[in-house]
Amino acid sequence: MTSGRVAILTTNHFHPAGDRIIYGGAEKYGLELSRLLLSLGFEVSWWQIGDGWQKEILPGVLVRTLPATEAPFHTIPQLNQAFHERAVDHDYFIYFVTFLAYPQAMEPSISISHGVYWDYPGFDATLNTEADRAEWRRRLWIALSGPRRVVSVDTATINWVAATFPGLVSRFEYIPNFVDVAAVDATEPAGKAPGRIRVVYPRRLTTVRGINEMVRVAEVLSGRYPEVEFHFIGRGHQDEVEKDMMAWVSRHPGTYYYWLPPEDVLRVLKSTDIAVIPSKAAEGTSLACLEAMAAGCAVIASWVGGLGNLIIDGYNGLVIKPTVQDLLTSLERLIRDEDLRVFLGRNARETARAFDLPVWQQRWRKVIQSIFV
Amino acid sequence: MRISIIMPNLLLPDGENPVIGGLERYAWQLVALIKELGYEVDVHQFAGADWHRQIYGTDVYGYGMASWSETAALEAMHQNTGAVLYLSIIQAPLRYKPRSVIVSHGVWWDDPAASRDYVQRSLEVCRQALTEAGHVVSCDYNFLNVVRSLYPDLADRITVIPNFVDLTQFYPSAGPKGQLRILYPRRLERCRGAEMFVQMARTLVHKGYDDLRFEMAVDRNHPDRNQALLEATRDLEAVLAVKTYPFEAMGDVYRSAQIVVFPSLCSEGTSLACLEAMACGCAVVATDVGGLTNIIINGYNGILVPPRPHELTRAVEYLVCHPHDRALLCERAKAAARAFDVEAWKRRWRGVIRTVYGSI
Repeated sequence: MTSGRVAILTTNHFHPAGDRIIYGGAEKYGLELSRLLLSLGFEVSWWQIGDGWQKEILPGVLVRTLPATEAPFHTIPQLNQAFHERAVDHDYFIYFVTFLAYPQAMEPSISISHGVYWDYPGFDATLNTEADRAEWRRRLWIALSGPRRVVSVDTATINWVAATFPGLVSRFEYIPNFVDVAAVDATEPAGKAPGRIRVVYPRRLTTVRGINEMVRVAEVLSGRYPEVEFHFIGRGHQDEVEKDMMAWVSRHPGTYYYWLPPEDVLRVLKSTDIAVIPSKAAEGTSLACLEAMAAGCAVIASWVGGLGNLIIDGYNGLVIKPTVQDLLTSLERLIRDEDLRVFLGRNARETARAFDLPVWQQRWRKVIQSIFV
Repeated sequence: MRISIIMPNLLLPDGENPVIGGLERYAWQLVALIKELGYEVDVHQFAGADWHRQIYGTDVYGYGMASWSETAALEAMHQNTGAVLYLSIIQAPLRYKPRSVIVSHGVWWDDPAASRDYVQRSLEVCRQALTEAGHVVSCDYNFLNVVRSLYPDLADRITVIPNFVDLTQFYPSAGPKGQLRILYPRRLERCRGAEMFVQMARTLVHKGYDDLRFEMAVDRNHPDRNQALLEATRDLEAVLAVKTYPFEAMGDVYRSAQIVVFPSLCSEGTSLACLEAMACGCAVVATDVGGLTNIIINGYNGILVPPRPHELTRAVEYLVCHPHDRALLCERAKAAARAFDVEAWKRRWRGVIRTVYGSI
């Protein structure tokens, strides 16, 4: 006897075998959520865009695919419709991304907001007229008002809703992202030569994550501080970006570019002095930031999105405006001040315990048990 | 060079008594800092009649025409001043002076009962402020993030300077505290959630927590509200006290409390009172509204709850029943508060003032 069948709708964050694999926070979140539902006795299935392939991501947990080719106004009504037709034999529903609940939400359902994703100037260019923008907002409002609960990974989203759609905020629940503290503690640090200072940028090579600012800063500081090594760990979305990055590090001594599976990124973070999260937009309570904190790094984070839920400037990290100048100043300050690095890293490590995986599971359990009954 | 501060009310409209609130304390800190940098400074405010006062050596000018048109009063202020600093975003229609600084104290229009028109109007007011003024100083990341989600192109005009606490005045108590005291240290404005605090107190008393003592340290800006609160809490008068204190006494008030509650419904920045309670080593329960979420990390240095009465009650009850966890939150609140030392605030503001207003 199971507690019921849960169908989870997502966009396309799982990949068929052989495809380009980008380890992102969404996939990690999805796996932990699946495990939690299984532990509560639910059967779990995932649904996403695809051309008919199936894949088992955990024992008994299948990802199935649905056809969808268009995404008007940042929604995917075709996918929503197909899900409604195919998943009718399930009892409970989760929209893994908020806009997937447009135009209709199954009953009862929960949706998840992973942070504000429309806060960069380029987003405006995707909605050409005032009317388009109004239509996007209308659809977002419908998507947010359908599910019984919207779980938000940060308070920035909740506060945006409160400041934009009065009255809608009461269905929101703040559950910040998690870090598996025990796993981080058990990880052996990667080797590092004595006397070196390791700076890591543990993100994808994309504009919104601040890659350009970080590259520029590394360019300046690698010449100034030969004892500092700069690691860029993360994939780009195109081969060209990765090639450019490889060419760039070959011209700059003290800089390194590579990518690793998540557990090996942790190993590097464990021997890292300074982790840099200079996001310019589209940021929640970043898993990468939490991992760096749990690993005891001194973190420099931008003040964007959910990062302000994790870092108190000057206490457990430094909070900056994501510009070349601010990044340069703060990084240089930490390179020169070992005491401050140690102080921030120690407090970050302690703070990360408030985001430990079991705490996240307990908060989610409460939501699931109040809605899926 | 003179910098004129434009703000709604440093003194009450009659020019006789100071207004009690965070904005006014912010103003005094800034006045002192600007003087320290060698500029001259005066204050221009709305009033019920034209008047001129000198308070602590600072000229304060009241503009009586504000009682019929705030816009007209603002225009008169513009005529009488050179370089200006707006202590808050102005709601009345106006053109901001170029090369000025506007201070944002957080999102104010996030009222769950707000009409769509009000929200729309407030967003326009923000857009105008960001477009016309050279610089906006925000006291929290939340305002910045809300603005970036609406007007991504304007967000770069914002500099965040989190609010401050004076650690020489707000420090932890030396000895152990006596009876468990739960404090509400806010004004009697609807958005501050006084009703939710009373509801929480009543629920806990009915549940049999007889030995708790509740205190509401409130303002006297609207004496009728104090009277109404007294009447509404008559059933609790044995355990709940409603008091007003001069600001100088607040350190002792925090030090006598174990749990301090910030039940705001909306309109929050990086609350001065919250930082002060933390610095005094109190366990804080706050709502996840506005800038409070940039000070409190849930379960680490305080508890954050959604602004719903039963959630607030549950959190306070948890702290009452778990003294060990409470002590842990107090320790970390105290440590985190040091990052908000007024000296750090002054350092950041000095940079902004020098950049915008230049040499003296």
